[in-house]
Amino acid sequence: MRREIPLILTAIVGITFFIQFFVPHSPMRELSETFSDWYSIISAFAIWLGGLNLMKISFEKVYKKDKDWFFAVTTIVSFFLILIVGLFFSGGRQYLEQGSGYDWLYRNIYSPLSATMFALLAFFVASASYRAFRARNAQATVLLLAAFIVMAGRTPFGDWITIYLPEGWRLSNLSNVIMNYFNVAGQRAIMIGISLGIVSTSLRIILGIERSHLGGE
Amino acid sequence: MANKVASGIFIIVILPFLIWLIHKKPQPPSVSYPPYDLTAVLTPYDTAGSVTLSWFTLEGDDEAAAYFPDYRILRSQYQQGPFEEIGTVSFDVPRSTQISRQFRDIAVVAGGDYFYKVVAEVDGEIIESNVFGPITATPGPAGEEPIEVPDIIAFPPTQLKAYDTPNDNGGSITLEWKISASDAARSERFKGYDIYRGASPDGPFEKVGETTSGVSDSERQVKIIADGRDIINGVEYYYYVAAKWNGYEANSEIFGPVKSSQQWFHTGRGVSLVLLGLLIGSILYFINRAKAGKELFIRKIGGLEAVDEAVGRATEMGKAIFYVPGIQDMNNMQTIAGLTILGRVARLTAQYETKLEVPVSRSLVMVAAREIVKESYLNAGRPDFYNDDIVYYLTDDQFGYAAGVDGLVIRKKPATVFYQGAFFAESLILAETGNSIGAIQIAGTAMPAQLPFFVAACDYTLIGEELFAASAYLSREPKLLGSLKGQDLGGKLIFLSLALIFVIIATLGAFTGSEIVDTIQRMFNVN
Amino acid sequence: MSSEFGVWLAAFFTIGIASFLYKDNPLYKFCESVFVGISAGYWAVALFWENLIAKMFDSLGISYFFGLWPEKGALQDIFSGVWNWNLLHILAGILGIMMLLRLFPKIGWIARWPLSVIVGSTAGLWMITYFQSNFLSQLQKTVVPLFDIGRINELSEIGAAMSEQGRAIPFDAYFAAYLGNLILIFGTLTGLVYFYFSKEHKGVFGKTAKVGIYFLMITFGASFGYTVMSRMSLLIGRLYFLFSTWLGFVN
Repeated sequence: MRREIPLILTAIVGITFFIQFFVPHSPMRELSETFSDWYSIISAFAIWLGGLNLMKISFEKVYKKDKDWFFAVTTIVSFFLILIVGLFFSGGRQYLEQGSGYDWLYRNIYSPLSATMFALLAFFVASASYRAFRARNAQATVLLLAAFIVMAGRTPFGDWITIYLPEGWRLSNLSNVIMNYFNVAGQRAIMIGISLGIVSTSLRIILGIERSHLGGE
Repeated sequence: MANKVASGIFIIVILPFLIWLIHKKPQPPSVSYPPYDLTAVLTPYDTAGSVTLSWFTLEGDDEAAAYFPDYRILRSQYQQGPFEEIGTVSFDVPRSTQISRQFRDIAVVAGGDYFYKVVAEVDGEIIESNVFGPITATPGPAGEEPIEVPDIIAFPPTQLKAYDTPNDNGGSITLEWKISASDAARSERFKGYDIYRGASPDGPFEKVGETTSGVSDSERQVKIIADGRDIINGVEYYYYVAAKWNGYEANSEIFGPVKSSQQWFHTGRGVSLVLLGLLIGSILYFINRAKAGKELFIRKIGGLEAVDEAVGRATEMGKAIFYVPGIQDMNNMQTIAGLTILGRVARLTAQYETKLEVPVSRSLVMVAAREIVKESYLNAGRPDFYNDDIVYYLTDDQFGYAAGVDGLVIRKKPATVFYQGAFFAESLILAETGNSIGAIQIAGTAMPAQLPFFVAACDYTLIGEELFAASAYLSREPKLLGSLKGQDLGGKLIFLSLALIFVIIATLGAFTGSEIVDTIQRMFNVN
Repeated sequence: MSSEFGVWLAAFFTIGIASFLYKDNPLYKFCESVFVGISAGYWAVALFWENLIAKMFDSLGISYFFGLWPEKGALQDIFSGVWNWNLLHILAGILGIMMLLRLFPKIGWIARWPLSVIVGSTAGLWMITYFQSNFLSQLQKTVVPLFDIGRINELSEIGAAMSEQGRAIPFDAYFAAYLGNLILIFGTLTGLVYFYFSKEHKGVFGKTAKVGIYFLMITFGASFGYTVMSRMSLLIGRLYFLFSTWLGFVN
């Protein structure tokens, strides 16, 4: 029960998807579409496990008077705030509409937090570039050189430092060549490798050879 | 040796030939398109009653033409003729659209039935249009001014064909028609097409759909659309399509009967079946060989060689190991691959009694990761060392999770951080923060856009396929290692040889100007 | 300066998160804890309405039964004698409940069932979609002639016109015509050799793999450089919010 049924379920569902790809006839396609919806439904149940876990950890911190217990309180308050507002006070299904309480929280708290976190990337990109700049081996140098050419080639700066070359033979042109050919070639090799890795891993999972995701060896 | 020769012949000769044999050949066009597609309508608001003809221009008759032979307009009262010439249209006469021409026949007798055709002599060859008719000359109602040629009026779509939509599970019929000459004007006054369906050619017809103006296939000037509204397999249907112009409608002829059905095999996926079958077969073959005890060589993968060292270092320093399984859910293979690596890492941390923390961003991942870590601790003989709090949930949100992990990393200062799974823009936020506290970082992802950032900010990075190979590599289990060999031969080797063979053929084909380049491209079409 | 409370709140959180760049501090800790809580709740609410209600209760017809939704669902269909595949969503509901049984340690193992259904469908679906999109279509893009004859012919036409105007043909146009396909094919194949696991990377094979690594490094560098600018624009976006929307310095 604990081991066999999960393996059988995995195999049945996986093989259904495989077959429906080649056999459009009923019921293969309907089944695979249904299975795809199942994920959404199961995850909608499961997300409460996560929420409960977050609350359990936060309450424990408060209870144990952990060093940062005050911040656990803010987590608890914000979680319940948006939950209660979103489920009960935002017009039900119209919760996303402009002017709902949920939307207000989204625009004034969630969205600036998210956008600022994203914007921090500008600084992290800078510090990562700086580290790459100090790299001493040949591979890292090639990486850095390509990065520099593409970055400079996408701005007027690139053509400005190569102004003495004839038009059409400047850094932006070199940048195009790197982006459209060298870069694409490397991307392709990576993508092909990924497809092979996925086919192989999927096959091992469907056949039950790979079961470490279920905790088995 | 004999084996190798046989495989060589298979890959170089038989496989390319097989692919050519089963690839989906281009279908002959389901409709034959005569050069003109002549249609005729009664001129709206012409109280005297006249007929306006419209046809698509022949090749060479375009705006840039310096000269083009005249079109001769022929008319008869009978389908078979005899036809007499009633006028000509020369190339310098203004036209309503780039690709169509019009002619108005005002010499009609009200109540008379007429048939029309258009003829032109191009390069010594006489090209005749279809015969259109009968059309009964009827005076229009009084009202607005009649529209002048070449102003556009509503011309019907022609050549309507309907057929069972191929490679589906039924419930769908595909329609295609040559666009209305009015549509060719690309004007906002053209309001698209309405599709009508009925159970018999005599109706009643019901509107089942509509579509915008424009073509789906510009070469043939046709519009293609599938009707999937409440169609029952095996039932006969009849269709017509109406073109809408400025409040007017012009109906095509009725087409039918047509039935929809389900197909047992997707004909566009034969090549996929062969190549995927070969890959799967090869993987299974080498798994079996490995089971039989055949030794397999697997090259070193730097990032995975470092796992032991990274765990060991954390143990020595008495610090924790963080394992970040990406921000995607269990419906992403990268997450699943990442979790298989977690199993191996957890086994090591159990053996070394090193503290492990797995912050996750999805509840399902939390449940799966707990199962995995628990089982690993059990297998390592340290179930006492396990508790559920090793794996904990932060938030489903991408940047919320990044903010949370950043905070944890900066405060707890783990000695080692693993990033294995699917990452998006947060990859660099996480990796740079980990870097700033001096942790050893081992990343692995199949998100091509994030690989550069991991490569720049981490000590080791598993690139794409290496992430999926990690479980096999770390476990050293023969069956899993066998699958790696299988994907090398059934995937990479096949790819390399097919690519080389067809590149050579395509290059030769391109120099001789043959159509082989198109054929090769078509063979590997994704359907 | 803005007089809206919401804008001040947004400005506070913007500064709070950004303060992490200086060092970990109480302000960041506050913003982080709010972010984790609010975003966890945000997604819980979204999944409740979009997945649980819409995909399960609506499609089954339970919402209709209670008069909460105008459209009938699978249950109504079945009782009027029409088969509806959405009826199987009942099973998904059962699997979802099995998932929640994780809360009870004694029977928590049953959560493996829904997990294995999800893993199985992921494996099946990804196997075929990635094979199509990453293997077959990349093979299609690779089996091209070594030289782009069409472009080479174009070059000579354009070249004549351009030299009349005293301009040179751009370098990238030359490259695309004569070397583009060659580099694409060569780079793809050598890169693929790098990923080869079951053969030792030495001799000619090893050298080829080495060339492949360099292609990968150029790829990484190029996409790194390509992304830098767009990341800068994100930062500018936040600065604009602070200085214009909030403080009103810039219009």
